[in-house]
Amino acid sequence: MRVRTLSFAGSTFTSRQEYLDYLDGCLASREKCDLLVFPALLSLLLAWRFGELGSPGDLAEAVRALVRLPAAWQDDLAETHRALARGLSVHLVPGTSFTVEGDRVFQEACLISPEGEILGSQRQVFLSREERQWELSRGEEVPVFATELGMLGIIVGTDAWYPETGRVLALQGAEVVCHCGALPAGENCWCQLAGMWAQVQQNQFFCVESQLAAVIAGREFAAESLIHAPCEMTAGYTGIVAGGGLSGEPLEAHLDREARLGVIRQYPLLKLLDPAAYSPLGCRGGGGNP
Amino acid sequence: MKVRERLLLRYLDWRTRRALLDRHLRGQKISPSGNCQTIDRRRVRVGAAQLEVRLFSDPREYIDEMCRFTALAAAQGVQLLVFPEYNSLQLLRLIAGITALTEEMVKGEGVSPVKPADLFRFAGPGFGRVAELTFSFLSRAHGIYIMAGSFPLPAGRQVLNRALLYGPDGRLIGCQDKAHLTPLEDDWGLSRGGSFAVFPTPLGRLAMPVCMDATYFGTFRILESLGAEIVMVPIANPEPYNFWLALRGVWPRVQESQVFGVKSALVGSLFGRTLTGKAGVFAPLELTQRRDGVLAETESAEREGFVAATLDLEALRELKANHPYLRDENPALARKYFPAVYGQASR
Repeated sequence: MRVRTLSFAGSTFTSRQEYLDYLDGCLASREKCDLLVFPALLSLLLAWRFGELGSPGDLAEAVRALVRLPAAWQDDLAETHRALARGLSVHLVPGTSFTVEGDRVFQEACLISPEGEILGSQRQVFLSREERQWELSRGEEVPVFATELGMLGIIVGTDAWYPETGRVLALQGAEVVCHCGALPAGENCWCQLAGMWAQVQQNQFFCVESQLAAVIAGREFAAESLIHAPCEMTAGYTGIVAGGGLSGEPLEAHLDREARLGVIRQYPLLKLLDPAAYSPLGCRGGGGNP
Repeated sequence: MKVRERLLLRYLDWRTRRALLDRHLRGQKISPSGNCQTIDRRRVRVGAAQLEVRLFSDPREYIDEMCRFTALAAAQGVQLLVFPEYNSLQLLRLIAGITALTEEMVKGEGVSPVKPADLFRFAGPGFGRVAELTFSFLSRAHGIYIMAGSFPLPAGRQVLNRALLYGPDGRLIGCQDKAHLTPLEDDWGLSRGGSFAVFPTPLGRLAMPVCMDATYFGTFRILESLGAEIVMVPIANPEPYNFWLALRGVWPRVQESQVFGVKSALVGSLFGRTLTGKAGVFAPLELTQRRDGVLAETESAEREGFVAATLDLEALRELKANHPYLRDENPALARKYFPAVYGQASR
């Protein structure tokens, strides 16, 4: 299975057509891949670049302005990405958007099939302090999607640091997890290892981690995109199949499903769980104070 | 029990008799350290031993070894000292014919193959007596907390891998049975524990899951929800050392659940297996100078060593209260998924 991410580093598009041209330039001439993952906050980046948000003073104002855009704007963007998936014949996770349901706002990412169908979506289920200030709501579903690539799951934003998300996906059979991330620029190496790297190692799935590299409303996001696998099937046992993306080039890798199954046969981590000891986990979920 | 086994057991009882051990312990010249006389939650001094496994033919040599490490730690102001997993394997040579027996076990040969659990069931009471007397004495003599490591101990028909914690008065504060067994331990016939405990002490709220327990986030989540501040993990990893493989245990659990972690390792060669690991003290990224989550770690993964570090429990509390992206809760999610997915896993 060939997987690819795009961080949007160095991109300068300011209109929908320029965005399509940018994607065409980045992706069209490359070897076909099976799964393409974009980073978190992509709809916010696009709306900001296209001048749809006015002149927000900061990221919070930008998010509020995005949420106020007519539903048709989000629908048009979704249609753009469905067409992209069809055109490239690829499973696509087109980053995250903010969706409104009644008086609640969620950050979510969807999975689009190579035929352009939306197979489902994943809402962020744990919120950062800042996201709580933005008055986002938490999703309550963590589905897995049966595809011809295997069982896929999605982890949105800071859910990467909540191991409950990966464990629920893994115990439902997830083989590949797509992570849409957006980390503030800075030294993120250890922080990322504590996130999806740790989730991969304790659940033995693959992860395609796409990190945003762009500025939105004065906030700079920059972190390496990473493609993870269980340590035992990577060179030097690093658990990282490929890393990069900050140059603007797509990051890609080949994932060997059989090799992963071999690792699990050798060391079946999830079969060694002790559910009898987990009853205190039953009703909390997350790392808050008891 | 066959006559031969009875004789062996009596011999082991005699080799580990209380009077002999007491006399040897009383002969140690130890002055109380005073390290726990004043406790400041902003400056809790912890230490982790990295023991190189040596087989002793006399339990007094084992006592001397533990005395040496404890004296080293106490001299560095340590208030809480942590020893490794399987911290009684050094006593195996007290069992007559152990080399031939382990070779038989490794090869799976013999008319009636003996499982290690049988061996521990047989030797556990004697080995346990050595550990109990040694660490109760050392914690009292130095006036510090000691997590003595873990020991394969018989409990009814089961053999459990049990960690023991002693207070500065020499009393046993509590124990913790390993809940997640490795495939090797499963083959050995060990049984798993079924719950996790936190021990409140003037030094802080302590917990001590054992080795493989730290592979699973649930262990630390439960312990942290019970109030754990310092989680001690004794390990004995029978695999060549690799930075990345070693990173999969305590370090990510500390980051996920926002506690301090203290890891003690048993290293060296034993009956054809090589144990590796680095003793270390770990903290949330934000509480470490290099923001790498490591306060102290030994240099070598193969030779003996010792590390100590100072923990600020108030800084931990402040971080948890203000963390920018951790500490959120989603009870609805847990209620919806955990019973079903973990139920499925148990089947």
